[in-house]
Amino acid sequence: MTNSHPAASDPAAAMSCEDALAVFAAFRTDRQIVISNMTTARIWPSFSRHPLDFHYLSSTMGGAIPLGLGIALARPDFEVVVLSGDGSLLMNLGCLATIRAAGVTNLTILLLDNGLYEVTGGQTTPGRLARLDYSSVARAFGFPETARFDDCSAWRTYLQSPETEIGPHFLTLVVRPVSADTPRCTKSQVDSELRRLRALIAETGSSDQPPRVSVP
Amino acid sequence: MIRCTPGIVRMPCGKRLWLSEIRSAVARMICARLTGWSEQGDKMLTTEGILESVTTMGITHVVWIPDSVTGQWESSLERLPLRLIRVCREGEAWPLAAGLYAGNATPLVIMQSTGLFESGDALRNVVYDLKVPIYAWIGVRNWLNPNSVDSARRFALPVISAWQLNCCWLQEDADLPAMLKHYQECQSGGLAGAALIAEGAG
Repeated sequence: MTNSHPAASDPAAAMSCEDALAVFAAFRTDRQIVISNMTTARIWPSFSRHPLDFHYLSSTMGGAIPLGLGIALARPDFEVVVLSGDGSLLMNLGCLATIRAAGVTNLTILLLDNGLYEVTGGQTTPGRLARLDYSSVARAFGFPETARFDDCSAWRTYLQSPETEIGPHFLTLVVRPVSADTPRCTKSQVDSELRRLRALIAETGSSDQPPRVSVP
Repeated sequence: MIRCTPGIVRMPCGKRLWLSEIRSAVARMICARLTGWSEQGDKMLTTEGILESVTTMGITHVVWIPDSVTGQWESSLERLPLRLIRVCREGEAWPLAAGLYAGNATPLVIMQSTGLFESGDALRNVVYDLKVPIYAWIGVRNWLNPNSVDSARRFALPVISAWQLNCCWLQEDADLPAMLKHYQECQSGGLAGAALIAEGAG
């Protein structure tokens, strides 16, 4: 974990996106619904084939976090993890306020920050030029648990330790651009995948319990 | 009819009308033909009627950005056994509602026509890629002001038409049974739909 400003980060020293997700995959539980999106949807399937994975492609840019929030609200008995890029978050930054206002505790945002619009060829995001520290931004929105990692060992150590704060969690993973030979994602039938996930959620556990809410 | 000065048309009866009035009247006629809606003076939609409808629809979550008409329902909606989810921009509302649907909840999206304009790409994705049968109430700003020069009024129907949304109109409590029937038809057909709330200035 690092408290340094992202401007101090050396992109060459950041984690590879693949390594960062491999670490998370090793700790993923059966009660976690994982929503991948954009670049992460290309990589996550090589680490996970869990039935509670949802590869949100084709998507609306910035829509993955609101979609995850919706599931988290409807099913407080699951934990929802959204793998988002920094460009997507910038597209919908207000969603952090929406999350806090909604009072969910069962949502985690794993923000893969490479400072680029990767799916369109690697153009620079304004967030990179503005030297944004997204975890600090999330903290300002009132997220009780935020952290930022730029190496795998610290990231792994964090996941090994018990949670100290109730969610929602916002974790920034500073990553390098994916390598050019990473396979392009094959777009799935996203509508049938959503229906499959919906049916699976319906038959897994009960939604009768009241939402766990926290006061923002 | 005879055109006299620019923007004004003289009707055969001698009455002079602004072109914009004629366009509005034609638009309302087309709308009435397509949706069965008719203008009924100053009859209105009451909060009681709205709350009863939301309850009948079995809505579990209202995802909204209010306007000056729908905003009047806020405190009443908060008293219903549902969650009122406030989003920061309308582009959040559609995927959030899709997530609620995925979690087997029953969301209703409420926004103004201006928000519909803003959130077109999110609507496209949720309705046509994810194929989620989302139902929405869209407040059509200034629809009840035929002489309004509000561009939000001018583009409301063309944009709704462009998104090929299955619509009905809501102006007064007497329209609520038709809206409920429309909602049920959309749900049973697995289709997205919208009720257009005919608003004054907003």
